[in-house]
Amino acid sequence: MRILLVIPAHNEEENLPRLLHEVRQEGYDAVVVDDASTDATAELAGGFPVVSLAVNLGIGGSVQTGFLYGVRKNYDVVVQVDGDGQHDPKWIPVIIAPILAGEADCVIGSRYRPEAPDIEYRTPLTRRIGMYFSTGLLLLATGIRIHDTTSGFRALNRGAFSFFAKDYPVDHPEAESLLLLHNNGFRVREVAVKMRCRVKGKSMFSSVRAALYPMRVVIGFMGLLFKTSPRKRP
Amino acid sequence: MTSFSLMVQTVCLGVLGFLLFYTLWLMRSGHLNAHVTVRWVLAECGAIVAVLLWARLPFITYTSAMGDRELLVILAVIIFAFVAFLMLDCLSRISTHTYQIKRLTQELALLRETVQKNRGKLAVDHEIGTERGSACGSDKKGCSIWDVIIAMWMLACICLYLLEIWGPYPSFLTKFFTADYLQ
Repeated sequence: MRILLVIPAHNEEENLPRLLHEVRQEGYDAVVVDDASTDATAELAGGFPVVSLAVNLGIGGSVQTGFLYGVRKNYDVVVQVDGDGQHDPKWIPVIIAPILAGEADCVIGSRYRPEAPDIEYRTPLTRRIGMYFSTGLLLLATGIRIHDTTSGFRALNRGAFSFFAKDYPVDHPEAESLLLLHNNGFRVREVAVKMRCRVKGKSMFSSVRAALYPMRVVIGFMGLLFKTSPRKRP
Repeated sequence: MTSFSLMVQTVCLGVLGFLLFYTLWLMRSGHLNAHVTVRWVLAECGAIVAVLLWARLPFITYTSAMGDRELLVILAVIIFAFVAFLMLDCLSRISTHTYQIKRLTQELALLRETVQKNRGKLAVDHEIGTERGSACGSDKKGCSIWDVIIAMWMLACICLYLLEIWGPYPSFLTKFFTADYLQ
C-alpha cells in the first residue's frame, strides 16, 4: 500500500523544515505543493519532490494539485497535511487505519470529537462560529455529523482522491468537499486527533474571511445540492 | 401606499428576484464560481431589502420631495439590474477562464516537477559518464582499438614533422617523399 503525504504550503519557510524532518523520520513519501510562495519554501523541501505553482491557487487548488500528483504516481492513499506544522505526522497511522480496513473512503482528523476533544488546541471564536455553522448545515444536508468540518488533516483512498483530482472546491473547500463526497457515495468518517498550534507565521483565515465564511458555505452547499449534473466545464 | 407605489415595488422586486434566480442558476450550472456568487447574492439581497423598505429609508424619503419618486426608484432598480446582468455575464466568462488557468497552472507545475526530476537523472548519468571517461585515461584496459590507432597516427605525424625540420631524411624515406618512387 503506497501512501503519499500532500503538503500544501504558502510562505511556510519557518514551519516547513520541522514538519519535513518529522515526515522523514516517520518514513512516508511526501510531495510539497508550493503555492507560489515568495519566500524560500520551495528550496527547503530537502529531497522531497516539490510541485511549484506559478500563480497562487489557494488551498483548494494546491490540494487538488497534490491529488493529481497522487493519481499520476499511482499512490493508494493520500494524506493531506498542512504545511504550517499543525498536523503531527505521528497521527497518520490513526487516520489511515479505517481506510486500510476498508471502512471508509475519507477520514477526517478531528479536534472536537466529544469523546476525545483536543483541549490544548485553541480555536479563534470567529472560526469556531463558522465551523459550528458548517457542521449544522452539513448535518441538515446529509445527516452525517462531522464535528471538525474545517480540519485539513484528512486521508483519502484512491477512489476519493481520484474523484477530487477532477473536481475540487476552490476556497475553504473542507466543508464543501465533505458534501461532495457524501453526494457521490463515498463514506466519510471522523477520528479524534491532537493538533498543534501554529508556531510561526500567520494563518490565511483572517477575521474578515471568517465573517464571510458562513455565507460562502451556504452558497457552496446550495450549488452542490441543486446541482443535478456534473459541472459544465470547457 | 398608493396602488401605483405598490405596482412599482412589485415590478422592482420581480426584477431583483429574477436577477437573484439568474445568479443562482449561473452558479448551479458551473458558470459562476461560488466566491463571486457570495458577493452578488449579498448585493442583490441588499437591493431587495432596500426596495422592501424604500418608503422608510432616509435617502428615499428625501426623494419624496421630488416629483416622480416612483419612477426614480424603478429607474434605479432597472439600471442596477441591467448593470448586474452585464457584469454577471462578464464574471461567468472570468470564472471559466479562472478554471482554465487553474488547470493550466497545475499541469505546468506537474510537468516542471517531472522535467526537473529527469534533468537531475540526466545530470547523474552524465556525471557517471564523465567519471568513466577519466577512468579510461588512467587505466588503459578500457581503451578501444581506435584510441590506439589514433595515438599511433598522431605519433607518426609528430615524428615526420621533426624529421622534416631536422632533415635530411634517411635514404629509404627520401624515395617516398619525392617523386623518385615513380621512376
